[in-house]
Amino acid sequence: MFKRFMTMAVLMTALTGCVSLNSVSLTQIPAERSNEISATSSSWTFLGIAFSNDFVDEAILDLKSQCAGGKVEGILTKFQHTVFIPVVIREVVATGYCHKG
Amino acid sequence: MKIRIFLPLMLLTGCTHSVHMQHVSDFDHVSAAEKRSVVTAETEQTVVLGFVFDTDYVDQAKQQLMAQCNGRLSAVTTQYSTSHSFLHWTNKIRMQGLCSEG
Amino acid sequence: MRWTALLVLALTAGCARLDHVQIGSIDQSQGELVPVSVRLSETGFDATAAAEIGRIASRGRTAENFKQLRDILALINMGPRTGNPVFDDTYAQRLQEYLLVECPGGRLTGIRAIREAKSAGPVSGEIVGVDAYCIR
Repeated sequence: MFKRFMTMAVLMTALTGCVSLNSVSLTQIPAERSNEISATSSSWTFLGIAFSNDFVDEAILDLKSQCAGGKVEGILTKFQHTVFIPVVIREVVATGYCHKG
Repeated sequence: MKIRIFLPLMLLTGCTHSVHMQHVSDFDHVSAAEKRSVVTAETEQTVVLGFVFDTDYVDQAKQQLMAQCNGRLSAVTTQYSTSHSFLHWTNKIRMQGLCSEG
Repeated sequence: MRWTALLVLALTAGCARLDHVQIGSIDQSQGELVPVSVRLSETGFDATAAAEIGRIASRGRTAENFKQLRDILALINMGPRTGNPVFDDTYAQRLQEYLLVECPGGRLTGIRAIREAKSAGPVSGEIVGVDAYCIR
């Protein structure tokens, strides 16, 4: 009974693209918060097997490019997984504030 | 050792938690004369059998924190934890910072 | 099989576990750096694993009862976990307060936040800690 229930739960979850949060961080938030910028990078894996984590750098480079010559503060970074068995999407979402001058 | 003896007993233990991580931001050099107050924001998300499609509660915690402080927020700690329950669980985000205004 | 499992459990008792580590910026230009450290911990207990150990270590009807107990515990404590579950999730909430006690000026640099544990099978000490330098 328990096994049948768990199998059903696993199968139903596999078909729906559920999200799970792995880590979150927030840096110091400036008083000036008018210019919000955001960057997302992701990587598709088969059964969650990955050979590189370079996609993380894409988010950082994107944030940098949106605030050239300025300072990015108040960065909320989320690292999350979305599962569509057998595919697992790893995603980094970063949002911050750009201050120039 | 009948299971019906264990069941009521074990229902009492369906209240465990897991602290996944605690992030600490940099601390600004705030002078002693500057007005400084602690602000806290907490949000949560109930998940039934893993069915959840967003992580917006994290962004809501940041918005709540900022809404309490018009100045600069430093020494921001972010805690991510989960409270376990029967066939469902609650993910929790707790953010705390030092607000410097003035 | 049974004794092998218990032997493996015994050998892994007293292990250290590292879940998460973070390093902040380091400023060595502002003054003397004095190390400060804060550790907050709570006892973790994995009742499901304990029931599984009971199942492995016993036979017949008792083993079956432990199996049922394990399944019930798994159902009533569902959710993602890092290390063994604890019974109080507020143990790490006063981290910032204790850091400011250690360094009243709040001039901290080189912050290293760590999530770790000292583990002895289903029982562990779940730890949240911060090491840093106080600029004096």
